[in-house]
Parts: sequence; C-alpha cells; structure tokens
Amino acid sequence: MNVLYFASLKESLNMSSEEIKASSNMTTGELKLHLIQKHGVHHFPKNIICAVNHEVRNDLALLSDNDEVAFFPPVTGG
Amino acid sequence: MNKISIQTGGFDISAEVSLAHNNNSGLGAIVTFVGLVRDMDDEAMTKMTLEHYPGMTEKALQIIADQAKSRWKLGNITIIHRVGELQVNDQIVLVITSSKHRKSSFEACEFIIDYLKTQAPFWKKEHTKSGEKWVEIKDSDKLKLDNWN
Repeated sequence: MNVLYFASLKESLNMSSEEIKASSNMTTGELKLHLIQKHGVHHFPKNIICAVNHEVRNDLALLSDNDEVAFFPPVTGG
Repeated sequence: MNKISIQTGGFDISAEVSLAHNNNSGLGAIVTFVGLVRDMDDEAMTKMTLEHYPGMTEKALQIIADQAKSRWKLGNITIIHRVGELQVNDQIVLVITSSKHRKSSFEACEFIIDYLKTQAPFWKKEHTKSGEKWVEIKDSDKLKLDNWN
C-alpha cells in the first residue's frame, strides 16, 4: 500500500510517501508499529494522526493493500 | 451550490459574496469570516507556507459544510482556503454563510471555521530570519469544538 506523510513528519522522515506491503488483516496500529520499528519512534509522537482513504481512523482499522494510508501531525489550518 | 476551493491565489470577498448570494431573494443575512496571516508576537515573520493533503482536504471541508447545513437552514456555503507561500497581512481563508435570519449565519460560520481549524488537513509553517517552525495546534482551538457538542 501507498503510505503518505505530511508536514513535520514528511520532513523528519525526509520522504513524502513509501510503498509498504500490508500483511493480511493488518490494522492501522500494526502498520504504525511497523513504521516505528523501521524509522524510529521519535518520528511518530503520540499525537500523530492516521487517515485511511481520506478518513481519520483509530489504531484498530483493518487495512487492505489498495488503501491509501496517510500519517500526519495535528492540523493547523484556518 | 456550495463552493469549496483550495487555491494558491487570493480571493475577492465582494465577488464571492455575490456568488454565494446568487440573487436568492429569500436570504436576509450573509456572514463572512476572513482569516489573515498575522505577524508573530516575538519575531518578524518573513513568510508563511501552507501545506495540505490534496483529496482529503476537499472531502473534509465538504463534510464540514454538510454538517453545518444539517444543523442550520442555510443558503450557499463558500469555503476558500489558500495554500503555498503567503506573506503577513495576506488572506488565508474565507468562509461565507447565508440564511433567512442572521443568527443561523453567524453560528454556522463560527462552526465551520472551528471545525476547519481542527479537522481539515492543512499545516502552517512560520518562517523568520532565524529559521522556520511548524505551527502547533492550540488547546483553545480543540476546546472550541466542545461548544458544538
């Protein structure tokens, strides 16, 4: 699946996206754990938000390989 | 029709108000909110950059507009948000609401900007001579949502 990063997370990882192979029945929380193990926990503070196909989801959402998953810090528009 | 636009260029408030009004003779009130790039308290800002998540941003704003319409009886809603590079005093965001009487428009406009600030995927970065810094969410912005629940 395509995993997107935005704002401060994109800068700290030095990439805007990467391709991750989802194992069957992987949850958003498990994906985050995988990314923490790969990149380091300091990139993923507790307030990092996860969106699946443009909707914010908690750690329990089930993922499939076609999903677009994004991680980003709390938003600051307006 | 609601108008939702993410754009790099500025906007003409008067033209947008006319567009939102659309000669609807049933409307007695139009409320506009314009957000501006404010200078920083401690150091002069050289510029602000605004990033967003294309695709999700438009959907998030549409959901907020739909929620406003389900709470109040409204005419057209306009939400315009700029992205890219902005300077101090530039317009960032425009929200227009309209209704038969003013109360619904005032409340809906505040509802939309409160939700936009905490739900729509935009991120601001402040640039100064000494460096750059991502803006962090204020607790007061998060608490404002409690007013609507």
